[in-house]
Amino acid sequence: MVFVGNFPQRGRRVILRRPAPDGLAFLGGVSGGREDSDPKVAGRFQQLGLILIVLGMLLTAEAQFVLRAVPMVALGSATVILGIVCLGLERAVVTRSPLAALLGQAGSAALASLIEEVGVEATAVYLPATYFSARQPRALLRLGQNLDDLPAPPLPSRLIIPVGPRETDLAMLVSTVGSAAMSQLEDQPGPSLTAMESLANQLLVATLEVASRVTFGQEEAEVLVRVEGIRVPFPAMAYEKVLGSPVASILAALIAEGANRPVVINGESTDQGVMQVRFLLR
Amino acid sequence: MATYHRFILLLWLVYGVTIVLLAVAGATQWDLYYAVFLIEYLSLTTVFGLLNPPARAVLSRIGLLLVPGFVVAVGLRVLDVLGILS
Repeated sequence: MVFVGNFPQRGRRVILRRPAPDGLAFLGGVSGGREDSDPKVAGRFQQLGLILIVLGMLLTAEAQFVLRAVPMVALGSATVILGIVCLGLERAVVTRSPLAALLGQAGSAALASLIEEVGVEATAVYLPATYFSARQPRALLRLGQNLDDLPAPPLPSRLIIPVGPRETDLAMLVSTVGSAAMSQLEDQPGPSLTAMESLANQLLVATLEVASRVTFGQEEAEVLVRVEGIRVPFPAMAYEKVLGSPVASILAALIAEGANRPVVINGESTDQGVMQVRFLLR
Repeated sequence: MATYHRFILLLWLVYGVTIVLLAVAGATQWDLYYAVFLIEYLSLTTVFGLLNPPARAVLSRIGLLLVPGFVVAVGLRVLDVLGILS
């Protein structure tokens, strides 16, 4: 299949001679959801846990049979409990390895180049997984004319899809950080704001540790989200104008999944560590 | 500081304060210490509900591991009160 597209912003003609690869390929390892544990951090927890357990057991035995001091027995028991906790958390501590960070940077740079090259300016539309035959949520970026109508589901797992009657009515489907973050959710988001708020807190506060609190509100057709204590240790990318910031992208994907409707980021602002984002349900 | 670091530090702090307070109060029953430790552990794991999912699962399993010790301690205390052990 051959797709021919004109992109007025750049006046370029792009030809894709074979079906575009899965959009995930452009994000490299970022969207794969693979987690690497840092052996140094994990090893430290293991060592600390073992040391505490051995010390605690020795202290308990000494206090019980030699010193006959109950508070010391309790201290030994507390040390053993702390050792078990450290040893248990050793398996649960998941950190990004430097390789994962490099893959993320490379993927982001590739996506930024792609978006810049094709001249996308319209804001992305975050589509829920039910829109796709592969059941993976993605963002739709319109190329060329700013059509209001969305293509009907199910959409193919391709990079570029036709969205209108003319051959220039094309759109690009990309996996975003929000799409990738959906794999980290324990439960499917529900349609209520409370359910979405709970999962947003679970994702941004507990799993990703990029915020301290997330609250949801509604104002007419818009969903308003307030993210407190935001800390994203990356510089802003140029494509954030199209896809939104990483946190807004995650929230947009979450709301799209929960409401099972397309979502557009209608504006975002950050002031003194508090981010406010407005989402429009389509 | 990661959330699980805060959890370990807080647990260490709470256990330390508990031991000092109970020792000053003259508590000489080991099962009392253990019961307080267990309650504190379960309370802290509830307070730290927003840990990452694998960490929460591990902490829940450790909590389940600690409960039988409490049951044994209470059972021994009951037998002692009933005069069966003595």
